Amino acid sequence: MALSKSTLDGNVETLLLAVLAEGPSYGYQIVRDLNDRAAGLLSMGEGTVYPVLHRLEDKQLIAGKWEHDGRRGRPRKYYRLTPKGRQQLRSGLSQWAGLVEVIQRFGGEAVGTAKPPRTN
Amino acid sequence: MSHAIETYLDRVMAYADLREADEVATRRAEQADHLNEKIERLVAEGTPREDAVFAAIDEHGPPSVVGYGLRRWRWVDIRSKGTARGVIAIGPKAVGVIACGGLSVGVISFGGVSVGVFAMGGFALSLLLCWAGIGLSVGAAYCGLAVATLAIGGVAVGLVALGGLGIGLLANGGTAISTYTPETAPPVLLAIRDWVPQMSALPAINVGLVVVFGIMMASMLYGEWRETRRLRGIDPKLVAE
Repeated sequence: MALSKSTLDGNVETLLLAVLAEGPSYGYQIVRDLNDRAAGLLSMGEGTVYPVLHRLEDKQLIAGKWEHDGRRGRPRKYYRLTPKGRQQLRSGLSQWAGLVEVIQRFGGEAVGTAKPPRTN
Repeated sequence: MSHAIETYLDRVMAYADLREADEVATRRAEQADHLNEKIERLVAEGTPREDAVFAAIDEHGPPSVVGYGLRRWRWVDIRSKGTARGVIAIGPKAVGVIACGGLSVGVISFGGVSVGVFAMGGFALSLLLCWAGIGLSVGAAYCGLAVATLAIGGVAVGLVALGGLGIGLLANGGTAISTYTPETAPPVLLAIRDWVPQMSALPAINVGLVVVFGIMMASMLYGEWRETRRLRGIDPKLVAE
């Protein structure tokens, strides 16, 4: 089952920031990392990652730089997470965690994964 | 680079319509780098090169989606596909201060389905005023079927309703279902009723609104025609895509 566009909307930025938190990368590699780890859950065109990368760059959450790779003749644009991006990632992940917890509390029962009710 | 990749990138950049030559070059180079690496990987995995090229293009996404995604924010944004966003936005879907489209959302919106502070169209949802076939408004609606605080139309439903069939707390019209009469109505309803212009002025107001709507629709069609012509000038297949 692939995640719908509406589910992905607003979360793709956090996903890209999470990939870049592991180190500088470039467009194709970022898409590969996303697809490898999402195991078919993401169904976005590979090219659609670039508008999001450019938007993150405009917001200064990531920084892009063209660099020459010795083995290749052509330069390639590498993206790095900025301190502002790292802060945004933390905030995004915390929002996710909160959302997952709420969904599990309300909808978990329907799929048999509900947490036992809290007892004080 | 293969001809198919060049053609694909031409189409992406046509939709993107970037103004700075430097930005055009870098955006294009980045996409080309992606596609080339993808093709090399597929070929290394045993896919024939020609198949690899088309698979890479297919997985990259439709040129209109990728290209319009790359487009910079602009004051006037006109698109032939997807959602236009700008101060003035024109497209199949439009979001802007002034939005014209099949589905439009804006301060002032026009279109098949329009949502805004002021909205005109087939179906309109508005905060202050709408003029539409079917209109729902927090403020006033002047529509075939109007549902609003102050509703005027063929069928009008509201706190104050005036129409062929008026249903409301204070209603008037050919057939009126009204809770109050003007004599018994609370002052607030009378105050709302007083916003209604003289009935004799309604035809003139209607003509004025038709003219405004016509101008906006003509602007939308002209904008879309220009965008289509621009795309056709770059690659005729873009229009048929």
